[in-house]
Amino acid sequence: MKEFLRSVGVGAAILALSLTATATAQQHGGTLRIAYTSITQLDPFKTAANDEINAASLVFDPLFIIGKDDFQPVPHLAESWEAIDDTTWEFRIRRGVMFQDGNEVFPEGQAREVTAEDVVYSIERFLEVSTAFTLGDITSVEAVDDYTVRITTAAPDPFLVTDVNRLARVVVVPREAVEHFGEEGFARNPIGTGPFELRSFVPDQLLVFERNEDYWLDPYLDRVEFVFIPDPTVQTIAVEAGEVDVVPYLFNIDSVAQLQETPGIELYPRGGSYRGLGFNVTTPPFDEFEVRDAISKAIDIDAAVAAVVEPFGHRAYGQVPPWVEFEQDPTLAELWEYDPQEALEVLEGIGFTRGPDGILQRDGQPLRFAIKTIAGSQVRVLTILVTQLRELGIDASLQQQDTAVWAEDLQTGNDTGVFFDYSFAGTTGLYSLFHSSNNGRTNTHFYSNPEVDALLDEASRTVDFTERNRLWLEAQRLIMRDRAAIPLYFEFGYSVVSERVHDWVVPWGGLHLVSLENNVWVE
Amino acid sequence: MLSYAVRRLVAMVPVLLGIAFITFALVSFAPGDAIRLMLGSESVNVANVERLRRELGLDLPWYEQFWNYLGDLLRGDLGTSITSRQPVADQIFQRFPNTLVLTVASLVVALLIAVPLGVMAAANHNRPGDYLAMGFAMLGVAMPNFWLGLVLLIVFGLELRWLPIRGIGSLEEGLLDYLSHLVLPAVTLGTSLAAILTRLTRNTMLDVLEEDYVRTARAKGVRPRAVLFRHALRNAMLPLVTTAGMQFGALLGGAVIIETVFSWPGLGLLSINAIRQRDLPTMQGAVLVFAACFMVVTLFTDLLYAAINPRIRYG
Repeated sequence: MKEFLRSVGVGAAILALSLTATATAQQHGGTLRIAYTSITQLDPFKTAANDEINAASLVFDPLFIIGKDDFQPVPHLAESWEAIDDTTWEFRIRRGVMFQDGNEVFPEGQAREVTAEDVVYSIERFLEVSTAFTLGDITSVEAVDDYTVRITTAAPDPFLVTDVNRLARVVVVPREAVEHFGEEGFARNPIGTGPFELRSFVPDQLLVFERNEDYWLDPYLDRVEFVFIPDPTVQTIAVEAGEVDVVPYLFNIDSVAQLQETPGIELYPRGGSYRGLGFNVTTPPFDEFEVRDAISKAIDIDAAVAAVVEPFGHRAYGQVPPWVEFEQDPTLAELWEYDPQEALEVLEGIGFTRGPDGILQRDGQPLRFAIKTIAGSQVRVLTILVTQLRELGIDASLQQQDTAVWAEDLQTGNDTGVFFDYSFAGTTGLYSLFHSSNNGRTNTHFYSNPEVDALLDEASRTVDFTERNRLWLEAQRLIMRDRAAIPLYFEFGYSVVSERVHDWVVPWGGLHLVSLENNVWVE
Repeated sequence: MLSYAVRRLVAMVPVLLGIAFITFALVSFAPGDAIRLMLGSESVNVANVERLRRELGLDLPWYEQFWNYLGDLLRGDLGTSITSRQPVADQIFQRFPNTLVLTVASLVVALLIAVPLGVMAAANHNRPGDYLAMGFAMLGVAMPNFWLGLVLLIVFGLELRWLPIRGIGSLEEGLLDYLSHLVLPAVTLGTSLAAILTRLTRNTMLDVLEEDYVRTARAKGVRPRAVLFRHALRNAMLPLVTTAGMQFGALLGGAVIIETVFSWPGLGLLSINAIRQRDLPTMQGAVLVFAACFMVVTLFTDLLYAAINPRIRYG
């Protein structure tokens, strides 16, 4: 009976939803209020912070954006592009796009059109000042004519357009504005071609943007406000209270279940993060394959992920996440099996015996280590795994650290040799995390396998997708077989959005309120 | 009195320099730095980050960095933030008044609660009024203020919708708007201090009420209210002022957390973000301002003694 009532309730809710959907049509006007944690400057090239990138995305346009459905590039300021040959790209720039006017640099009615020269200037400035992103090995950027830009790379580089962290990050900035305001001044007075113009910027309080009346698309919104709310819990309370409309990223999936039940709020999923257990493969005892292998067999990852993460994430068998161009490799699952008995046998095989305190030991050295982690859902997952290890006689513990401490510790070699392994949106996470050229920076595994390096290098130069995919997945397979890391799960990312907001697209390499794919409007 | 105040102010300079040195050394030897944080990002541009490290002088040994910092400091330059690339002094002085308003308001809240409650408790020693006041004192100290803040925010901001849940009001919108934004953070921050001061007021009042002159006043037939407030409270105020002054430091510390919960654009929030990002110049600047603030309040407390108790004189 209860079940029946619930399904009736759901049916009624769906009916009500479809009724409201037909009753409301897109409309012009209104204000969208977005919560933010920290915005200190708005130079789009000088930040890695999501909030700053989101706010800057209103003012500036990129050449293309990463599409909302399939994560493929979609035209924006560039109407089209093509690969002339393996190392040459040509981008056709949209005609008639004007820089924002009514400011110190371009007085009202005196803005100028964006040309290929502006794109060249922007890419060159990006190469020079961006600390958070890199475009790879670019040999030249030139304007072929007023609306055509040619980019030449040293080697074939398919990731230039498919990876969200490469050319998709380059927005067009006018040289006059940077020169007029200076580098520091431009960060407070951003002028671009985007759908909204910055009206006011009060640090730690409010940023106000108003509709760009001359935009090349027709934005529905009149005004966008970025509202300062540094505490993530208060951010979601503020959506419930109607003080803001959107929290662009939900950092704590623990609150997803509760938010799903909250009337008036919708959760928009997109992308997420890879989370695993990483090893520094040069630190004893993890420099021995058998130790890493035994740990992978000793932990019941499925149970831990089911208990903590699902349905807001799922088990991972490799690093390549479902939201990049590469395919999922179904054969990876075979590499991982939960078999505590065999784990013990592996450890006994390399000389570990049970000590008087029940802890496995070798030459008087107990098998004892602390897993270093930062805050997040993984703390609860790892707690479960640590408990399983201890039951087996492995004296594991969890050590939670501040992000800056954790980052430095991992980069300088991490004395305990085992850590929470993490990567975010990028297509090339596998390269960042496991290629030996990144040792001591993003490769905190200090994993160095010439075969893997060669495969990743080759894939990065391979234009043909099928072949690139094959090479990439082969590299992933080798890394996983070597147990450089034990993948645990992919956690999904969410925006928390009030139901008065429509056509929201979760930010991915930038926040796009108005594009060829969507146009956000509010009731 | 004046020369005393001036001497105390001059003595602050070496103390501040010492604090600058200690925080600089502590931060330099603590693990984690801004550049390492950037290098950890999966898409990092290594060459540009390394160049930034050199530009900011972060590749120098810490004592050289400190020497450069000191030179700038003596010229009145607090440096440039690593993350926002804006002058630290600007960032601090935009936010400092907000923190001052918040801490002073919570001090007022604490005193408004503690003095009447403490006097009531003492006057009703070991009776229900006393138990009630001590119950509050116990609860007020025991509740973590970030938790109390969230509870107040959910009750008065989300459920009842009486008060705004975030931010600072604008005086242009009227005093009422400004105060309505201030109430929740000030009450949250003031509660634990109120609890401490309530206890203190009660205990000193109980001591004072035992004194001979109080008995004399009562014997003379002075009204109980006048005995309590005119004779006893004035003498009980002295330790209260000392403690309130000393606790101002704790208030500044608490503001760091409360500002985060209530999105209050103050110095505490600035420091928290600076610490997370290992933005050394901003951290350093904020610590110096906090320290200077604490010293000024301590001086003010000492001067206040003389005003309250005519037996104390500074020469």
